[in-house]
Amino acid sequence: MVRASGRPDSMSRSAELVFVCGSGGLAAFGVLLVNLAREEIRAMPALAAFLVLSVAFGLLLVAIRAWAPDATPLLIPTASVLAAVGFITIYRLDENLASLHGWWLLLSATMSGLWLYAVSEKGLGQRGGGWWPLLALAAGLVVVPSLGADGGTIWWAWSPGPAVVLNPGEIVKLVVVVLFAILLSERQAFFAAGGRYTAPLHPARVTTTWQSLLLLGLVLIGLAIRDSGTAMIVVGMFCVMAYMATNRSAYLVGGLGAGVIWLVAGPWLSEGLQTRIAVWTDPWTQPEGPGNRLAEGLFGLAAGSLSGTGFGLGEPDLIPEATTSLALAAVGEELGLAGTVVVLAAYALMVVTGFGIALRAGEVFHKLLAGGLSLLLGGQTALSVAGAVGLLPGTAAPIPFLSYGLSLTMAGFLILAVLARVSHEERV
Amino acid sequence: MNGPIRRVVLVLGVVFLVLVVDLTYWQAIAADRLRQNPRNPRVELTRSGQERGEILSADAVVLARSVPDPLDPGAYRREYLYGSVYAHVVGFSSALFGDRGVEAAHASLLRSRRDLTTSGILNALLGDDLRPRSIQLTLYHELQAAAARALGDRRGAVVALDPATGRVLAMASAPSFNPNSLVGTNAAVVWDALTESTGGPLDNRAIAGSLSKLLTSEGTITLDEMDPLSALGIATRVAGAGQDGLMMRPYITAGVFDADSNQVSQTDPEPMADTFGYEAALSLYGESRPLVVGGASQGRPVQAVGSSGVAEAGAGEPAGWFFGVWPATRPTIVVAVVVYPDGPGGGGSGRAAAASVGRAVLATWIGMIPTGASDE
Repeated sequence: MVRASGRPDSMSRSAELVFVCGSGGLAAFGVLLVNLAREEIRAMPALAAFLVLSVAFGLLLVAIRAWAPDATPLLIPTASVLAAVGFITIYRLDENLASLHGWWLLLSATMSGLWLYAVSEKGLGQRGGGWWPLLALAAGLVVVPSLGADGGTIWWAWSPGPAVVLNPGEIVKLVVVVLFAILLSERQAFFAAGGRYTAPLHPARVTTTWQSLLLLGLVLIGLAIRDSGTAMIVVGMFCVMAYMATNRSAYLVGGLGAGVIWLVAGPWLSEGLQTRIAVWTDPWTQPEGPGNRLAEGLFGLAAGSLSGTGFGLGEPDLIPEATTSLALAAVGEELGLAGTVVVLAAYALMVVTGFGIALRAGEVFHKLLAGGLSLLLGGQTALSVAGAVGLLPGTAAPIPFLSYGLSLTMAGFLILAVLARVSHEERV
Repeated sequence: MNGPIRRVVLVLGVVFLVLVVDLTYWQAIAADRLRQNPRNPRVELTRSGQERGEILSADAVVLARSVPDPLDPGAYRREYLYGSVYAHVVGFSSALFGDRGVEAAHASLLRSRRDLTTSGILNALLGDDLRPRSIQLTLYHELQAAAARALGDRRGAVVALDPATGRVLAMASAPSFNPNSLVGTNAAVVWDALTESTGGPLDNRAIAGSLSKLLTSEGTITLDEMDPLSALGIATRVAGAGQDGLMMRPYITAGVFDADSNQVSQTDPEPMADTFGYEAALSLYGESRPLVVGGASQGRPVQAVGSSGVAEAGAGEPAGWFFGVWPATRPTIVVAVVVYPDGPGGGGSGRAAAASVGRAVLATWIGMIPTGASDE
């Protein structure tokens, strides 16, 4: 058994803490610059930014030291840098939203700490325990009532104040990945055989089929109508995770096929999707304004050029959805290509670290959990950025840690906690 | 299971690389094109929206200022209070067509220094003032207004200099334009009309070239490109002749003030090393004869002298020129006028027109000096 302290290649936990406080300092400096650009010198917002970032990630580090001490150390510092850049960008766009986001960071850190504590006694187990029906029920409760709502009134979207809507879509993605990991690890042999070697009414086949139908059916139909980005991510997650579990490339072909069908058939299903695809095909002849998020986002990126305008000096307010799905365009305007490349590099580092955990994990369930969650981080980021630069039709997918959102931040912190726990168990 | 996981990582890595390449394309290669795209809302916002310092005349009349934009809270609109009178000197600051005149030459002083360079941040933290600076010009409002009025719609220019220092007391060019129309809503249409107009209203005829290029950051005007036939060229050399050959470098910026009206810097008079064209001016100055100007009737020492003539201006008809100096000994003003041929009153009658414009400007100056101030 090799302990963390015995690993010569690892960053020590104190170094991690110093790094996280550095991210707090970065956030404080950015907030100071934003205020300077407004010709104000204000110490309080900068101090608050420092405290929020340092305390949130510090809490997570303390929880990891207590309940997953052998976890690999690269994840948290990288996430804290991204969260700092995201916090400055949100603060720059909307001060009130930033203070709300600060609370979400603290709340998410607390929640993930509590999860680490809860799981510390029994460990992750081999199949996620008997949790999957409850998780499926949770995902279903969130998704089913939104059928046909097309972005309208959604019963679970709780609005505590103007312009603040809590939308647990990101938590749903996390839950779905956990469900897939449970399902695929339980029925690995079935999926590997592609169902060919079991009779149509064989109990294993029946069980697996209705589990799959329940999971995919519940989640997809609803999402495809009102949130195509999430639907795409869920389909993609299932296909790639099934590929990881079985090494059958047929799942990848199926996933790509579903993507093409979605592109072709999407416009008939949803008017919103129709606009997004029209804008994607040719952003320069579509009407200007918030609807043309591709053109407006590219204008923002172009305004930043190589080194950016500097915090507070650009016009990212002109970018629609700048605090959520086009967060990278807002970062690109004020930090330039230098900033966007650093942000992407940080995600790449985080995702590679996550997959490294998956590669070293002992249990199939753990591999799929770590692999799936890393894929969720990387895939969603790639989908969001590809939408911002016009490689894919724009989706509403926000970028974990960089964008505003309680659900997103909570999901991000929980992913860190799960990855840390998987990493810890692989060492013990 | 590790095989497929590794392949997924590889594919994801390639996807990230493609994204970086695409970001590089939009932020580096296509960036210029997008920044100039007329549909880009930043084009209009970037410069017109920020506060700029005031531009004042020598007698503290506000010529240009930034006022809060009623349509856009937090943004500012540039206002040119005397429109066409100062169009070629003050210039304009337009997000669409660039900056001209003093607005261009002193752009870095006039805009608020929020560029967040490392030194800027340090200075700001040390309590330095980030607000825009104001520029005071050497032009006198009454004289400038008289010069613009006297020129009217003739195609020509007037320059008045203080020969002892090189201060430009007035500088007008006609035809002129209203800079306010270039920062307003129909700016693009106005710009097209101005650039296509045969009269060339955007050209500053007082100097041969663009003021924003000739004006140094110290506020002086570079001589090398100062055409001896331009109004400023004539005025500078005649001023030198009246000062026994001491040609002063003409300058247009009297000083720079911070937002609390404390003087930050001032321009000091400076003699010119290059005296090109001075000999010709000296002989002309020697031939000048007494002038009758309007101020004579107000009981002041008149003693103004001047001369006028016709000079070849390119391939077209000869241009009329005039210079006048007042008083004849120890002059306080030199006025030079050029009226070009193809406008009304050009050609043969250009000489008379130039002389009448010059006399009107001299009379205004004499009227501005309190009685008894000039005979020490």
